[in-house]
Amino acid sequence: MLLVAQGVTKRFGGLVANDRVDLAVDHGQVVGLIGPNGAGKTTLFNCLAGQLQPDGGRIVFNGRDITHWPAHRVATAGIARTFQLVKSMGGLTVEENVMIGAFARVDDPEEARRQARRILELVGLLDVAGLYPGELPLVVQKQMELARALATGPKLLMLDEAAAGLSPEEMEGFATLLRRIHREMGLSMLIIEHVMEFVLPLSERIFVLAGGRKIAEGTPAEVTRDPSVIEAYLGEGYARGL
Amino acid sequence: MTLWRILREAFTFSDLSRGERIGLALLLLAITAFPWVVRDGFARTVAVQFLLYAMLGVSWNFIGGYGGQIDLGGAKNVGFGAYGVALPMVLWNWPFWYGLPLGVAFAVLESLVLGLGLLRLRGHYFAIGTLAVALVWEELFVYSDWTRGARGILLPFKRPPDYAYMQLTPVGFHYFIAALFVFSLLWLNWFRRSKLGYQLRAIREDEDAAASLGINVLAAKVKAYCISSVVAALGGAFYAVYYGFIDPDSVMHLDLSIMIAMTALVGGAGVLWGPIVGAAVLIPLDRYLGAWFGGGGILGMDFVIYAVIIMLLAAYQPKGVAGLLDAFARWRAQGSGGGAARVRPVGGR
Amino acid sequence: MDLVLDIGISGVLMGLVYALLALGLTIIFGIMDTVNFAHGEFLMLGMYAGYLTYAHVYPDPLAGVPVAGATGLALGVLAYTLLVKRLLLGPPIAQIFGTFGLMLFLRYGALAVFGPNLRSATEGLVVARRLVAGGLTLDAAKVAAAAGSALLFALVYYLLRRTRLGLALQATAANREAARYMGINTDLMNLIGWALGGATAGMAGALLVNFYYVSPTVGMVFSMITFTTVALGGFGSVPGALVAGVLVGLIEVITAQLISPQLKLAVIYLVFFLVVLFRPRGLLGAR
Repeated sequence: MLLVAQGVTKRFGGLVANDRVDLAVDHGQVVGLIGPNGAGKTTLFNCLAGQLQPDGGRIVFNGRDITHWPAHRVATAGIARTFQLVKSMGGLTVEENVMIGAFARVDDPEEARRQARRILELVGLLDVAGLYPGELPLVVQKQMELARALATGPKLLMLDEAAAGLSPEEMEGFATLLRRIHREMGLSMLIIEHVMEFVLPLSERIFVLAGGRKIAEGTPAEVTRDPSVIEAYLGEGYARGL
Repeated sequence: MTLWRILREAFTFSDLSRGERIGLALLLLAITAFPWVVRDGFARTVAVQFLLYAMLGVSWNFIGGYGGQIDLGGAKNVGFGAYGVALPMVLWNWPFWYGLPLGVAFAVLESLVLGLGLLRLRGHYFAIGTLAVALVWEELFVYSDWTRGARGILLPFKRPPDYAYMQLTPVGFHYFIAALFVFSLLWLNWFRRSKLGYQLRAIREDEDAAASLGINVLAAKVKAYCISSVVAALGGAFYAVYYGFIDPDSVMHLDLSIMIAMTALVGGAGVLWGPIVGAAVLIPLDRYLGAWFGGGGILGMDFVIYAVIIMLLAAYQPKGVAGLLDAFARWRAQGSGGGAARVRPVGGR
Repeated sequence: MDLVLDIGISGVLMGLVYALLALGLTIIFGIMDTVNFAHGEFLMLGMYAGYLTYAHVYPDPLAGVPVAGATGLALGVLAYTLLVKRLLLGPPIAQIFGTFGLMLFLRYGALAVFGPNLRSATEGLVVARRLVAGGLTLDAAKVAAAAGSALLFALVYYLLRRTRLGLALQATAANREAARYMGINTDLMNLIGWALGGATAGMAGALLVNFYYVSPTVGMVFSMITFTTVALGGFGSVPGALVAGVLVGLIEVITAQLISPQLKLAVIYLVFFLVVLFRPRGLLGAR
């Protein structure tokens, strides 16, 4: 197992956003994390990424206990992440953005530039390298953010609602890109998502959160037929009706 | 990074536009030729003041410009450098070159210790914090007998040219500050092209994103803050021997902190030559206002004008002159048929 | 024992004035996430408004309080309309040095117009008078300032909690976007926030004229004390402003008594650092 989260708990005042959640991602696996709004997906995500400190539980990555590690340490350990609202560093060009990612592994700016360009080529963004993200459409910014994350040389890539704001065609393109990266780089992935058409085809395994707890786990087919999952999303009426 | 590599990076300006490179070359020429061409004593003092403030603006740029952390307390480092040279000289007859490392070391140490705390603060909290720190230091220097308090320190007179105590001829002083200024500019140039420079810019754009990419935000900020202190302290050391008299009001006061920040902001924070342009605008302005309002004029009017400039900049062009040039270039590019996306911002990378 | 009581009361009295100052600043912050660097200058100009009323209209600083309130209100409105409104459109860096520029403008403008000389009021209902109550001798001016501050604090609190306008202000502070959807004119709320901030700071200043000296440079010190108070109470928290104000007042007098009057400010700044580093949301804040 590449990433194991056991009993992760996070409270905000009186609200328990994550209640003893378990999650696991194996080497080379693509795992989806779904659940209705407010289920605690992003909170869990941020706990894994080191942006938030969990109140309870353990997170083990590649054999190391990273439970209380800060974000930058988690990143250098090999976990890369994207953000729900794209954080394209608008004052830097696309190339410079990706270079920042490359600097996680190299010290020399020229080497960083070379690696950045290589990744941009892999992702298909080489011809916009000199432009500023603000001038580019959302889907390209997301691709840039992906490239930037990849430049850090991660073992695990975590995507936070990558499909948000994309048209069906753009989503299809992005999914194809992710599949290609998964294939060519053997990268493990954890994908939080709302959009079922995006995440279900991509994932080998799905974890479902609702109300801060994990309520189901399994293959996409198993999970979509699970009554408790249907109930969480659509309410009791639908679940009973099946 | 080998020394050779560092030097090579410091002298690389190839990513700047041709206009910028020509400008810098002309500036270098002007600085070198100046004392031979201009003999007027007053003009020479203005030139020295220009170079000193440009240098202090450069120091601000490391943390404030490229780092995006507004430092409102830069004067304290100038004070440390100045007192570091002046106190031992007056107490134990130490030469300039013994006091200089003392002042610089103190500045760096203080920045390191306080920076580890202060730089965890974001945005306005950091700004308020730097203000508070600088105010406390000024108070301490004013009330402490060790530092001679508000009376200040008069440096002992040595016949120029004295290279141990750095009492030089006017021409000598000009080249001294010119050398210090060029040194700091080269340092900034190395910095902006280095990994640390990129990291700081990433931090300036988005701290959370930067951390998610493996950047130790606090460590990077502290490094930039310490570099900034060194350069400012060097400026302070020069101030002490050039003006021959220092007191908390001249080297540690809020007014100086404001001037330092303004110099960089007016020209363009986060731009290599920003502080140069800023100094070029502010020093003549300062002189002009001083002549108009000074000597029986209205106290405080000069800062009223500066305040208006700051407010106008903040409201309409936070990027200063560099921003104005950017906007102009973009307007020009649009006129010639689109391709606005290809316009590179001023100041290179 | 008497000394302790003396210090305690002194601290609380001054603390109530700080609470009023913090209230204005915390309202502005709560509504639009901006720190007003010029808050102390609003106080300073309120002091001058109060003093000038005292000197030219009616020889009692208390008469200056409403004038100072109006002045502060006008200043707040002008500052928002002419400057802050534009600043909100820019990057956060612009907001910082924009209100910083405003601070400089008001500070040095006052210096230019009024000159650097200190002024103080010498006559008035409570000026230099003693109040004897329950075996204690108190400085009447400080009591008046504290009472005035407490009264104003209560008035603003009532405004916030019991009026429709206050509800709208709170809503804007809680969630700007949602407030807009509810039909609240958030721009107007910003304006009112600044008007309130300016008015309260101005009146606090006028109340201080009863015992404090008037000078163009007092603004900075009060700004810093107010920042500390707001940070301690929690940015955006009204009850926090009250509690923290009193605490800061106490800290100030205790430091002056136990350590040294010179180090009052240093200790207050230290408190600021400790709070912002170790408990950024303050005592009662939510952020």
